[in-house]
Amino acid sequence: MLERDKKWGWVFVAPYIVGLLVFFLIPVICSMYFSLTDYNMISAPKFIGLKNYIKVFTDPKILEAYRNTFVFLICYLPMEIFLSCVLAVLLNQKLKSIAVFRGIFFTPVIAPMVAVGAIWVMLYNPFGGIINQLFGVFGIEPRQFVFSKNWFEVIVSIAVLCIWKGIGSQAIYLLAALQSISNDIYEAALIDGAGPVRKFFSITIPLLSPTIFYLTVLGVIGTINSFEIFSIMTQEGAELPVIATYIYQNAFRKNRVGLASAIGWVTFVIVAILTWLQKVAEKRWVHYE
Amino acid sequence: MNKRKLTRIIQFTLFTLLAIIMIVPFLWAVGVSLQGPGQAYNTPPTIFQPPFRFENYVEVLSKYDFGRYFLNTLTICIINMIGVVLSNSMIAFGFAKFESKGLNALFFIGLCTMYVPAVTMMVPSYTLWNKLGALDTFVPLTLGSFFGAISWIFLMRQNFKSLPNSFYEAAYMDGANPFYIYWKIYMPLCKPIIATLILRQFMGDWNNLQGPLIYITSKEKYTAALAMSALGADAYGRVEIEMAGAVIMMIPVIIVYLLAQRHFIGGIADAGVKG
Repeated sequence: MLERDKKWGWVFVAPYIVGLLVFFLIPVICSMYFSLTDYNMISAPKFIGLKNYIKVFTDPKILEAYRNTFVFLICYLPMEIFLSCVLAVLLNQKLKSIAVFRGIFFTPVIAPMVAVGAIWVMLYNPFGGIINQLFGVFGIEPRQFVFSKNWFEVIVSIAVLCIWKGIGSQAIYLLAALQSISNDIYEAALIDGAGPVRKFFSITIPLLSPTIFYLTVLGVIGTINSFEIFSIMTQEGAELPVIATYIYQNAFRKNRVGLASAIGWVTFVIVAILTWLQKVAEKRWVHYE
Repeated sequence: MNKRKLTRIIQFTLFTLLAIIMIVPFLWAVGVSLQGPGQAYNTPPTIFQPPFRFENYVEVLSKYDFGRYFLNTLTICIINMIGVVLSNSMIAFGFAKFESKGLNALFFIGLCTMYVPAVTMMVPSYTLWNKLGALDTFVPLTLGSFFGAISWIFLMRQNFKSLPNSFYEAAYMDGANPFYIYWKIYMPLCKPIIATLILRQFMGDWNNLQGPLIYITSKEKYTAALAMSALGADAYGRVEIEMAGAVIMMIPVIIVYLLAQRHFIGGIADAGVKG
């Protein structure tokens, strides 16, 4: 197509080539080198071989950051996707006020994480925060939530907040997919006597599976990248490190650029493996029409 | 018929309940932001009871200088909105309308870069801006937008591909310059996706904390998000001030969202199709 002015194509994409070289390729190559050095951004990098990588797999603090990240992933992503499926099914109805509801469910999505974080710190306050007040009404013991000394409680509290924030966005993707499902299938199921729960698990979920797969792949990468909420809730990760905040702490607070780069590359490999595993698993559960 | 009515009622109740869970934290923030000091954690809560202290908002804007931070953020937003529209459309046009093995290979390489997670790029990008002496300026937060982002290039490329090539050929025969064809013929046909792009960029920049946190150190260059993250410590113990900051920070995004809801949601649903 348009063979004769091929050179114009290169003129159009020229900014991308420059960007790819300057903002991607050169930094990436430098960072791979830094990961093999002891580098503090002030004096010249000193080559130390694989020492940084050995440290990534042996340092208890780094392993803790990985554990926290993956526990968060497990607490957050499956629940969020399941609840968004439910929400999408609910939204896919001919209700008069549906537009209002859609707007409401989307408000947390567009709100800045830093504002949302501050609001939830207030709601989670152990001394008179509204959630503990509500717990009191139902006779539940007050909890510490994000202020807890128990790392698991902190992670679950953050996961709840993130589910609340993200559910509307996921539901919109799923809703778009739902609206392309033909009504005939549901009518056939109705004739066969399927109840709403049965319909949800046996028809809706399988038909949504390509979208669910897409959201899961993106969700895994996004969750491993999550930085802002942990930075806000855990004093830049000083109290409860996850991968992103730990890299931030090491690179920008402690000037251990070499180590931070090594953690970054190990994480890259983990993300690549997880993505590949999901691609393999895709054949087993994702149904394309 | 009766059964149907019942499902309707259950549905509506469920919806209302969910909607309350979604909206109450925001209303709570507004309520607390209008209270006096030390009333945020009253048991039982005393929010939305007069007198309302609008002074909290004045204090955030003047004493805590949020006016300036809004202006800083807006500057970054506007530069980036221009940058992303120009760069992504131009690059996508190149990929969509001029096919060659080399260009396809480049596009494929571009798609591969998406697999390098943001956490991995955090340190390399910082060292680059450090070497270029651009730390503590808006440059690291804006310059990149003029060189395209692959996810947007991907979407705009689809868009250009869906428009017929015959426009190009006809105009080219008439001696029109390819840039003229791109800008005057194809761009006006891409208005919906450009609207989505501008909106998403605005929201992204307005809400972005990670970038400013890494690159900006002097207080007078803070963005609203960065100032908001520091407000907890700056106004220590004054939750009502913090909430006033959170609320005014959210007002612009909510207004923009309400005005352009259609484009925003449309863009998200379109992005989902590629899965």
